[in-house]
Amino acid sequence: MVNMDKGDIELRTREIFEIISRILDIPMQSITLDMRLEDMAQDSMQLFSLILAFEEHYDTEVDYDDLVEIEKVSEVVSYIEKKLTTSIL
Amino acid sequence: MKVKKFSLKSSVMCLLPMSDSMNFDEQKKNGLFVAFSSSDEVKQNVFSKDEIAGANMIPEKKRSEHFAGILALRRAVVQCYPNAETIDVERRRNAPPIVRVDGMVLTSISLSVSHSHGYAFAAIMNAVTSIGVDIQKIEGFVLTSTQILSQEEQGRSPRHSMVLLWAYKEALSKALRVGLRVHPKRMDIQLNEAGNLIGARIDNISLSVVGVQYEQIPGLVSVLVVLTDNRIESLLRNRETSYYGEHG
Repeated sequence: MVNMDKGDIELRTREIFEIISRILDIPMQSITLDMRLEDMAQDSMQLFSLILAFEEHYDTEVDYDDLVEIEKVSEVVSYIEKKLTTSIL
Repeated sequence: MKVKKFSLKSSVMCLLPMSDSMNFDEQKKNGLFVAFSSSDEVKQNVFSKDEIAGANMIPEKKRSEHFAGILALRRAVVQCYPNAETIDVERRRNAPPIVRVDGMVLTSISLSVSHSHGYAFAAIMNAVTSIGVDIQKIEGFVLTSTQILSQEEQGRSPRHSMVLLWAYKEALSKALRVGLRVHPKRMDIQLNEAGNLIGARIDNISLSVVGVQYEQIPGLVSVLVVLTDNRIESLLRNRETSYYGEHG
């Protein structure tokens, strides 16, 4: 179980919202944690571009087998936080 | 609808319609059937209570595109079942849709649907194969060769657009039911001069596959991939094979 500081979560969430807003061309204020990435993206290219953007911003590689469990924005936040925490340890 | 002609492998020929042949079920026609629709047509059509309920979780902005997908599926299915009185489509997350014809769930078919920027493309075929479709807007396509092409593909002289190569890889992922779990750079696809798919490899494993592009909607690339590999059942169900994952 990863212990996440509330401030870290808020910062990470904001960063992820910004990336989603930029890549998918969606106003940041309209993004919520329970929204599904598939519903926000116009097509497969946008979804893949989003994954690449996360990899570039956080300098990490996504394990593509994990993608089956990542559908909502909240799950993206948890995944990124877990990846970053694992890479520090 | 204009279809680019290409020579088919003999193993695929028997799966495609050469005439209106009927199997033992007099309602059903054998073959491959495709259809398109757009969000603009949604308001002129009627949807069942279940179809409407299924759209409640879809954001309003994308709901008309979701219904366009249902329309395209219905149009594809009615070509296969021309005497059907009712066709209902149940869309599912990360899995092919469930279709009911006159209340009966279709089980011996392979279905695929794709959306992009207000358009939908659907296809249906006998389930001895697995199919995948993808529709992609050409303008604004930003992915580069280093992001989506395998080493072998990058080493070849470019004959086709990135958007076409991407669309085929996406359609192949759908036919394999793996989605983005197989990185596009692990796929090596071969196209002929006309831009039709004539072969594919994933991590140097060859697949028996063919594909064709349709020129139905200006500004969009639309492709269909037919996976004819006789290992298909084991490929789709084998959890130990990392490429193929679980059949949806």
